[in-house]
Amino acid sequence: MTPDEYLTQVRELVASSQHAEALAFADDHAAAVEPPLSIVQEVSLGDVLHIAAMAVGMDEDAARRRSDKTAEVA
Amino acid sequence: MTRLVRGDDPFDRGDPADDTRPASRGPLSDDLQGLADASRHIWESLAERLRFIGEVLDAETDGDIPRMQQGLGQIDTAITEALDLLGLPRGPIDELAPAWGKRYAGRKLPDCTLQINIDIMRRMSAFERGPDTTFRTWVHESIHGRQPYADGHRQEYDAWSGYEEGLAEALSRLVVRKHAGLDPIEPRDYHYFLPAYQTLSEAMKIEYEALIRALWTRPAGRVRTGLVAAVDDLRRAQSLPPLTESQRVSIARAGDLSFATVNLSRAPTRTTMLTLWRGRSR
Repeated sequence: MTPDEYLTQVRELVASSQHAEALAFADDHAAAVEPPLSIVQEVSLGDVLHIAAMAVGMDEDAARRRSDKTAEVA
Repeated sequence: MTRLVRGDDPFDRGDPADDTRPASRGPLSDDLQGLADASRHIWESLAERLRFIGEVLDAETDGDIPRMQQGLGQIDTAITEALDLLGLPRGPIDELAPAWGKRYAGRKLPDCTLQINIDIMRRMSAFERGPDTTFRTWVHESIHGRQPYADGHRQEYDAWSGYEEGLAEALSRLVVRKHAGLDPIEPRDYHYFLPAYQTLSEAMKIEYEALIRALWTRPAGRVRTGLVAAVDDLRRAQSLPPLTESQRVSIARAGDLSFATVNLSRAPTRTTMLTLWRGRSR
């Protein structure tokens, strides 16, 4: 997989709100990227994954709040 | 061959060989002259930034977590002092936490943890512009942390992450590049959202920096709902006609088009953006 194909796939997953899938894809396919990402592409990937990670973190936070509220009710 | 040095123009999408061009740094702005000596040295000198980052990385290599945390804290103090002086203070952070493995360089979590990725910091330290890029990330995350996230922030972020990410990146470049004179790597992934703010301010005849500073007063998750009011307030402050109800609705719709997450993969076109915003002001 070329760096452009890899980055495009990650961007498309984030753009379609498949945040966890984007993180998983980035990790699962990193070793298959040839040639390796340049430093600019690395930074670019980092910015996209930052958006995905923020969204996943928000999901986790929302789930935790729901869980806390359930515990309060119980 | 002479390379153009990139400035503040967000339409400049960078040079493919950007990672190899020499860094171009400037002096600290007058606003940052009030930094304490230790922080001033970090911001002024690449060697000093590298030294502090090196101390963090050495401590991590040695498995000395307390020393690593101390080093992170020293850099963080330089970041927060600068933000304070520039009128962009960071909000409450419960923990400055190192992270490993994941590829994102940093993130601010809803529980008020600010994560800095040590692996990425190490990788960046090998490049001339790497330490400046780490500082860009750190400031970006700190802008996210200006206030606790608003309830329901996920609704805005999921569909329109550009409101928050564009704002955080616009302000981080203001701090790191304009005021501190650093030269971080700026990849394309926020490059749709920054011009969206810039062309909005141009079309509405308001100052770009005033707009992003006004939006900074909103917590993450409330930037979208504050956009139209911020534009209107800034126009009124300049004795420009207030926006009509029809204009307000129209600008809000254009904002959703411009700051949609899906634009991550799109290239900005200045003419199209300006046309979009100018059409909303009629």
